[in-house]
This record gives sequence, C-alpha cells and structure tokens, in this order.
Amino acid sequence: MLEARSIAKTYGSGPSAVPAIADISFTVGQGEFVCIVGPSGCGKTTLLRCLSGLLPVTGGDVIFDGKRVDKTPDNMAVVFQDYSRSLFPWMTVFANVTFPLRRKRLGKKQTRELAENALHAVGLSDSGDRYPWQLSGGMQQRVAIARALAYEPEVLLMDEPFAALDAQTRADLEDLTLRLRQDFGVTIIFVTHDIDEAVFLADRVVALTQRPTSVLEIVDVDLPSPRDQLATKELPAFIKLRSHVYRLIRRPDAVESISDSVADSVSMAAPIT
Amino acid sequence: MKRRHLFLAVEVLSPLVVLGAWWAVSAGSTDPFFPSLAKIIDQFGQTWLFSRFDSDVVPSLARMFAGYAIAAGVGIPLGVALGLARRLHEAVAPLLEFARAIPPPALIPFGIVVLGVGDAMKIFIIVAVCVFPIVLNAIDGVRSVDPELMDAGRAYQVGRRDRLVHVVLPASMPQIFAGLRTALSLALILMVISEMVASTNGIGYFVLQSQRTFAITEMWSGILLLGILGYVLNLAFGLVERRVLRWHRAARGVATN
Repeated sequence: MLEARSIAKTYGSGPSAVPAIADISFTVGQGEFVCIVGPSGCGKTTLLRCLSGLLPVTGGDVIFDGKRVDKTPDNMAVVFQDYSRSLFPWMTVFANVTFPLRRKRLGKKQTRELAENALHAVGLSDSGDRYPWQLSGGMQQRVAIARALAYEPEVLLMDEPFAALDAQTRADLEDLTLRLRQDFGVTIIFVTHDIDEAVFLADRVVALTQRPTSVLEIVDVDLPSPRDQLATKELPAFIKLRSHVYRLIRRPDAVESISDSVADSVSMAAPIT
Repeated sequence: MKRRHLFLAVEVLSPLVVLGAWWAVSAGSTDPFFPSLAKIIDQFGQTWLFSRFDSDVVPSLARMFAGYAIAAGVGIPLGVALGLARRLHEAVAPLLEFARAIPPPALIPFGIVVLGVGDAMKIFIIVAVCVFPIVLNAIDGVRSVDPELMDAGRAYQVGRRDRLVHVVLPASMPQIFAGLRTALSLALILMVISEMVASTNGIGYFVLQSQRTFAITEMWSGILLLGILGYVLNLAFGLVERRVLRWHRAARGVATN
C-alpha cells in the first residue's frame, strides 16, 4: 500500500550538498505496523517527511495506493514528534481535532461525532473545551492522535511521537496505539530511536544506517498478539530480536548471522552504500 | 506569592509617593513656571472636567483613533501580504526602510501643502507614521510562523484560505500586537505634534497656546492630561492583548517552566 522505491534525499546542491538519505526501499502492506528505527541523527524525520509528501525526494519514488506521492495523500495522517508545536494553541482541543475535517465538508453532526469518537478513543472525552497548553505532554500527544484518528486515515505516520514523554506515559501511549490499530484497522508507520519500542510495537522493523541513510535490514517481528508491556517483553524471542536490532544499529560490525525464525524472515535487506 | 504582593504594592504606591512628594515640594510655590500641584489639579478639574472636553479632548482623540484605525486597517493586510510573498517583500524592502527613516515631523509641511491644516492632514500624519511598525511587525510575524505548525496544516491538506485565517494569522498575532502597541504610542505623539503645528483645537494646541499666553498652570494641566491619556491607552491595550493572546502567554509560560 505504501512503497519507498530507492528514495534519496540530498539537501542543497553542488559542493555544499548534504546527503541525508542515500537509498531506502521498503514496502508496507495494508494493516501492517512497521517501525523505522535508526541511530540518532540518521535522518529518520527526513524519511518520514519524504514518505508523507511534506518534503520532496531527490531520487526514487514514494508510491501510495499506486500513485506517486508529491503532497500528503488524502487518506494519510501524520502525528508529529513535538506536540507543543503541532497542535494549534489558539484552538480548543475540540477545534484542533475538527480543524482538518473542514475540508471534508461533512456537516456539523458528523464532524462532531467523529471528533467525539476520536477523543473517546484516546481517553479525553472530557477535555474537548480545554486548550492544549492546559494539558500534560502525554495528553497533548493524545489530542494529536485523536486529530489523526478523526481524519479517518488508512495510513498513520508517527514521527517519534513519544520521545518527549516519561517512561510510564510512553508505555500507556504505546498500548493505546496498539489498541487503536486493532480497533480502527489503520496501517501504521512509526519512526523511533527506541529499539525496545520498535520491537514491542512492530510487525516489522526497518533498521537504518547512519547518515547518509540506507536500510541495514528489515526484521520480521513474529511475537504473539496482543502485545503486553510485561509478558511480551519477557519472551525470549523479544529479547533475541531486541538484541539483534540493537547490534544492527549500535554495533553494525558485530552482527552475526542470526538463527532460526528471525533469519528466515530477513527478506528485503538492501544495504547499498 | 509574597513577592508578587510586594511588587503590586510598589506598582500602586510608587506613583502615589511621587505625587505626594511633588505636592509637598511644590506647595506654596510662587515660581510662575512651576506652580503648585494643588493649583495644577484645581486647574485640571476646571479645564478638562468638562469645559474643554468637547472642544479639545474629543477632536484630539477622534483624530488619533481615526489615524490609528486606518494605519491598522492598511498595515496588517499589507504586512501579511508582504510576509507571504517573499520575493515581493525583498523587492520593496528598501522602499519601506527609506520611507520609515523619514522623521515624521518632516512630513507635516508636505501634509499642510497637500491636505491643508484640517483634520485630514493630522490624520494623514498619524497614519503615515503608525503604519510602519504595524507593517514591519506583521511581515516578521508571518515569516516567523513555526514551520512545524505549517507542516501540521499541510499534512492535513488544510486549504489556503483556512491556513491563512486559522494558522498564519493567529500564529503571527503576538508580533502584530507588538507593532500595534508601538504604533499606539506613536499615534499619541503624532497627535500632539500635528496639533502644535497647525490647529485651532486639540490638546496639543491647548498646551502650546497656554504656554504662549503665559497660562503656565493650564499648560501643566494639559501635560498632566496627556500623561494620563498615554497611561490609560496603554493599560487598555494591555487588557485587549491579554485577552486576544491568552493562549500565547499561557503556552509560553508552560514552555519556560
């Protein structure tokens, strides 16, 4: 449903050009949860901006539903990293959630319904009349997620959405994200620098190299669902996967060929540097 | 909390202390140029409450607000437009800087020649000066809108019009208000200057006329009135700003904590 075909991104041109993305290819199927994980400063945000059409690529193509992406597609929603800068502080929570719906001209009743459902889904039914700056960071990011849900996207792009939150809030929101994916059947592409988070959430993990970025390996995560913060993280398979991705990213030279199930599933690694 | 009370007390008491000191020092003054505060206040009551209110205060304020309103009405849209059109702004920037650099009173002779000595000239002078801080701040405000806020708008494909009205304008409001505040004090200054040069009424005219006829106490009462006007205008502006930019203060307050 979403495909990155050897996309590249270089900032600037000529001798001062800075290559951010060298060559990235992967596909995301309908209903999949794919985590993109890489070392800090490896151009994850650049990649996500390219995937969402906010930033034009300088090579390759992003294909969504068979069409080339040159602006954000209709049925794609984005949750940004910095909630304090992606929610509009002069709008109430309710207005923030309904603002993207104006374009859809749905009528008052339906708009209200969508917003209420979305706010209910993230556990903020009572906060519609408040302003984002009256809420905690975790609640603000819930509002941003509600805004994305109300938009009824097929694909949800999330750019390190929980990086600024404390560990407990982050765990809550991870669970929430998994539940929403179940309830709304939305495809999720989730960028993070947190290896545990990536392995815990994803069906597949795309591990990236340092800048200029390419794909190190695409790791299938065949952990049982539903995922649980304790039980899942105690599974030997989880620990093995986690360690594997950790080595890939932190110590790329020390990666040994990995055993059994994981090895079979390493399918589309395309490390071309 | 205690600190805040202390500062509030200083804020309220210090003007009273200054007034008290002025009252005490000037009491029984026989110096014709520095009459006692008691006399000035007495004169203030006789002059402004309310015998000259209709004849001088009302025309002054009417001209000032007319000029200020026109400057805002022209300056905000112009500044927003220039802020959005980067190329155009670069093209006209030298022109703006040049026009802004002309000392405002230098425009008065031109105004008199073209518009005569009536209200039109005075309003023109106020507009010609006040429009610049408004335009320049609006340009800055629009150009410094957080790119991430714009991204959020673009990611959800918010239309051009909605983006302008609901994202760009509110986001640049703090800067626009900074321009409006500067313009407000300029409007008061230009009101007085324009009335001193060519006028038959107004507070500025009254102050100059009093001085010329050696009615020094009256002159002082006019100065006192101008001070009070400036203070009250600023206070009123602050109240409006607080209301409109409530989100800005609050959001910034949270961010700095």
